[in-house]
Amino acid sequence: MTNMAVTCTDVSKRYGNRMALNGLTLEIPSGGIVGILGPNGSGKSTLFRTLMGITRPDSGNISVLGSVPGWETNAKIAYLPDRARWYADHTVRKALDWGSSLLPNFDRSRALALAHEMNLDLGQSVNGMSRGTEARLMLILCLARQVPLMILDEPFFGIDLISREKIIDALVASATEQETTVLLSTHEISDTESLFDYAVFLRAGRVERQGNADSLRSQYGSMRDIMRNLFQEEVTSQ
Amino acid sequence: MTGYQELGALVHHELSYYRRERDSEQHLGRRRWSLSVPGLIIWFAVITWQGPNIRFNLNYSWYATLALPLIAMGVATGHIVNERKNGTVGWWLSLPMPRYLLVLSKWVASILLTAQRSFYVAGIALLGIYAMMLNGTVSPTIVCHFLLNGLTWTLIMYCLVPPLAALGLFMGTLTYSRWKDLIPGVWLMLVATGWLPVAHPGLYLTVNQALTVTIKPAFALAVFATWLLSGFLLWLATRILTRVTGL
Repeated sequence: MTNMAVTCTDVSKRYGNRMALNGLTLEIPSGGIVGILGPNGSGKSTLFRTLMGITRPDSGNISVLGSVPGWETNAKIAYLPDRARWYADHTVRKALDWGSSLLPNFDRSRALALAHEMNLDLGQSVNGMSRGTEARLMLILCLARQVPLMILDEPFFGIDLISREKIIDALVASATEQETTVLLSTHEISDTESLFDYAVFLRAGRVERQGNADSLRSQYGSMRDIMRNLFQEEVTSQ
Repeated sequence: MTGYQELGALVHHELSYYRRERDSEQHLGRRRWSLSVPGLIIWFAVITWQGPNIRFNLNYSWYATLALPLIAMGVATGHIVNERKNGTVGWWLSLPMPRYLLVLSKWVASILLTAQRSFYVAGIALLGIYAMMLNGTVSPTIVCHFLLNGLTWTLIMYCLVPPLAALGLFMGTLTYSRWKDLIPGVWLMLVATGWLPVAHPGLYLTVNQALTVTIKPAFALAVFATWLLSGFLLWLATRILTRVTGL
């Protein structure tokens, strides 16, 4: 774990009066599953959008897989946006066609296998899907890509326990078999506690704490305990 | 994938997306049919009833082609704005393709979709000929004149479809940026530009008493200028999506 998947140096991004990222300096090593954790408004989604080149920071430097974020780098990143929806008029099959034609390194056979595992019917229309089923489809589009970096912003939102377990298995398989670095933000810490190899805790657009997950656990307790100790005041005030 | 293949794949997505979106919204689709089919029947009935008494120049009906550039603008704006409304903007903007291709594909798709929506022009032609048959003025010469005039109006309006589609995309991307307050100003500029042919009658086109339209050389220059403007607007839209998105 010597190469850095992501490096941010003094990165700031302001939306009106609010600093979404406030001099963020961060290094995320390659390999494994990295939890990007923190309460609402701590800058997780903004960080992900800047890594994808969707949002440009006001100041600071960012490097993703050794390059400046932008559309060229996105060929090597599978990204699940925050609060994303899928094209309501697509069927599952059409969504996989979309992935095959527009996403580099999209493994259609893997996508089909994942769809089967997650009980998605290829002819099913997105229009009539529950939020959870739609979220599973969007995750398949990310998990079926053979890329060095995967960024998943709240991937478990609205997903039931059984599907969540299947997704976690698929994530672990991606991280180990394909050596993909997975950056994952989630509020479902109880279910994902054991998933993380590395964790970054953000508060108000800055890194509050980061490190190897095992070291953090031995020093401060479980991820849930760290979250509670670091952010209890903010969570209760929200 | 080459740039052309990427553009082709994106345009295909844009075209099929719009079509299927319309199909999937069954309620809206039914409402459209419930409005357009009775509308056609009513027009047909009115022409059948009043056809023998129609005395006005049927060439007036070609003014309906003025809607074509506005349709292009609406379709283009909708394609950009809907990405955000539908929650798919993150997928769209994170595609590993240059932003100019993302913008260009929506522009091409808007032009093609406008062409798809311009079949009402054929309806005008058929209803016009039907009215002539009823009032007894039909003759090969008159029908040819009517159709040629319609074709000229349609071609003139098609010349304005690319710049208006580009303007629609530009206005759509403005909604993504910190500059969205400029939109009313852009509308004012559009109205001012639309006033030019009225302020200089006969400079770009002439319409005689029989409502036959003649294109003047200045029109070709104006079209060339608006096409150059299209390129500039597409460039601006790309810059906005690259640099100043408020996302």
